[in-house]
Amino acid sequence: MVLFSIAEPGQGRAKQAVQRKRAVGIDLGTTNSLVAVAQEGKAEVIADANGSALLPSVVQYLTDGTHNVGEAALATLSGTTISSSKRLLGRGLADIGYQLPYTLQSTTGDGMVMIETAAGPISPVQVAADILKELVTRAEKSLGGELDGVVITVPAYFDESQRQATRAAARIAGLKVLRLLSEPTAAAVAYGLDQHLEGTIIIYDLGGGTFDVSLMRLHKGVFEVLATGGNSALGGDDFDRAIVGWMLQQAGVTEVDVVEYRQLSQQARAAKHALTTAEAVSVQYGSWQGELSRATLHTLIDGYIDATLSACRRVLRDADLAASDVSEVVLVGGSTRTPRIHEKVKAFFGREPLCSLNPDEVVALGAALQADVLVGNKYGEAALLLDVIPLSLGIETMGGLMEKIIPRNSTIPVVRAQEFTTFKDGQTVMSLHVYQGERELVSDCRSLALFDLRGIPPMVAGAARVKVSFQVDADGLLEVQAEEMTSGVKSSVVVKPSFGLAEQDIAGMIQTSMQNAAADKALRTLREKQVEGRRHLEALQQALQQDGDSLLSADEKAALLTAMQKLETAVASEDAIHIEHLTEHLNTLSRDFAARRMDAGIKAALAGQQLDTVGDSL
Amino acid sequence: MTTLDFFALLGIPPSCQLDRTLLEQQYRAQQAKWHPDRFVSGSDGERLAALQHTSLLNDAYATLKNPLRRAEHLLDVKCPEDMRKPPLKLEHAFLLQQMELREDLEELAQHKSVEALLPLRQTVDAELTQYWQEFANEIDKQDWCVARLGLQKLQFLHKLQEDINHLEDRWLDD
Repeated sequence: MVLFSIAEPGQGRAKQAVQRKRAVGIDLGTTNSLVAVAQEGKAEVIADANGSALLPSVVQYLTDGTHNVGEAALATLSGTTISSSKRLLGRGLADIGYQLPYTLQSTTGDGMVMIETAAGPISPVQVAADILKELVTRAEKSLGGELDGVVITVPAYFDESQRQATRAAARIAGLKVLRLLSEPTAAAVAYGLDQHLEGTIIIYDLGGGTFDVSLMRLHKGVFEVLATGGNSALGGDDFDRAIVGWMLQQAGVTEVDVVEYRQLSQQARAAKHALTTAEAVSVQYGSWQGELSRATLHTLIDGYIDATLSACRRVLRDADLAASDVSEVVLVGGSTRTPRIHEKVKAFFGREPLCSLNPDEVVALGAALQADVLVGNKYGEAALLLDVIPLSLGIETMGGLMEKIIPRNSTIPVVRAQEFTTFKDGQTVMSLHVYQGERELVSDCRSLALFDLRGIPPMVAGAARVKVSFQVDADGLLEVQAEEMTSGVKSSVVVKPSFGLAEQDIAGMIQTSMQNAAADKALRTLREKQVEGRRHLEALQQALQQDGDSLLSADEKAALLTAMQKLETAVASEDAIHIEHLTEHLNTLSRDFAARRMDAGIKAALAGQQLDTVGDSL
Repeated sequence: MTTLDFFALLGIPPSCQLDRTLLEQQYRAQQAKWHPDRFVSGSDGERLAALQHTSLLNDAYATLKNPLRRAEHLLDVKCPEDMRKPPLKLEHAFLLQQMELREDLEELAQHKSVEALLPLRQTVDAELTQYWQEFANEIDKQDWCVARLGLQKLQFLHKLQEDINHLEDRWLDD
């Protein structure tokens, strides 16, 4: 509709400046998630419309199949609200030995968990995907277009199945993952590049649900992980749970329902935060009212903090270093705001810990810096990250024993091979069961994959020579190959551990997500058409008011009014095609009127002050 | 089977003593050039080459950083043939001493006290220092067969040291 549309200067002209690729870093946290972007070696977090950078890692599933993410999910109590689901990623029911404010069920087959919700059973992978999508939408809005890639951080102590589950979530969210990066490594990148930190440093990262410790050497842009350790189910949430337990005990209550538990958890968290500055805080449950002092809090949480310090000790020993060899201790993760942690970490390492970058944001910032490098935006001297595998990888041998092939803290990429032999005379098949973990018995380790090497020529027991090679690439993904050396028979498997979802499930979820994307797109089109239709109606109404009677015959005017009436009804409907059709129709009908208005406008102008100029130019 | 010379790969002199700074420098320089992150948008061939080469670099670096593995590797590189000869036998006195140390450890394991472990730890540390000195001398004299025997002694003592560490870790974690 040429006549009524006036383009604003500059708009419509696409940004044709140098195309930087759009890449972001995502910290997919247990309690909060963030997205950050780096430009020219400077990273910043991306806030939502309300200016808040932290997205609560909470998704609410409603009976109608829709869901809310973040603050919106926390605002109401309807449906099923899922929090801290990162702790369930790639986990089975047997791994979860604590109370959760929602109900879990086991999938048939591999025993991985699903969460019962108002919208039916939901996999923790889907929850993670929904959180990722929310962050990506935010980033795309801010950066003005689709993302070329993302770096997602995971706890350093995440095992293969947890990493694979994270990757699957990213796939469902339709993201191109440039790299999964360990959270402490990301924090180190932020400190190293932003604060120019160098030396042997400890990154102590206590988040809502996971604890990570990494010992690193930072030297001229090279970030070398020397050793890493931690606990993927230990964090600030445990502090909250301990406080809730204490409150219930004090109140003499043994059982509470899910909603009450959630409210208690929120109260516990608030109390914990208040104790960062206050000496005591009052809490209440039902008719009971009490006071939680700092000293009581310490007795409740000291056990957890000591467990983190044990992990620090192990990491130092793995790297053959003493606490005194550490030149800086960096605190990362919201839970490190607890003064008690500061105190105990300081005592353990004998130095004041560093926390100059916002502990909530530092991981996302580091991930953004690395994303910018990996996507190919050249800036200065690129940092180099040398990461390690957090847990040993091996295979099961006779008697259910774990034979480690790649020890933990090996720098990746890494390739290791070991020879095995047959147990029985004439054995033609060898079953290879891949495990991850530090314990001696495979039953105490995590099963990653099971595959067979078939077609071994029959030989006496012990004569076959089967070379089993493990290869872990820079992303920490494992590929196992077995080869019988005398005959050359080979078999290999890329380890895709079970995390509650078979490959076809993921494929199905990706498809659903794409259909949703299609639905989202259709909805957006509809809104656009409605807006366009309304804009035309308004403009035409104004024009009719001004010149309708002078420039149009009664018939013409009536025809226009009928068409307008039809469009008016249509824009209230959900039929984008119909709206478009009627808008087009009205456009055609009004074209003549538009032309006459333009003529009249020109005539008026010519009749006025511009007549002389026109004459001059003739 | 010939052994790939990790000393040559990282460009450092093959020796029992290690210039750690040089090792780290060389390793980082090669990683900076070959790391798969440098080839994210490279061809499949380049990416595979980067993966393989950096895997080797990591293996070499881990081997040379660890004194015991470096010693093993040095012998494998310097004198691969002597592995085919029948190995020299460890002296009876050495084995007897090892058994006694093991018995001490088993007894101490009952006490669950890090302090009580200390004297044994110190004995093992002192023994290790002495045997490392002997090993270095044998290498200097290019006395490979005797050096291999010396390496075996070191392996015994390092294993014992490792077990002491494990025990201590378990106690500290409980």
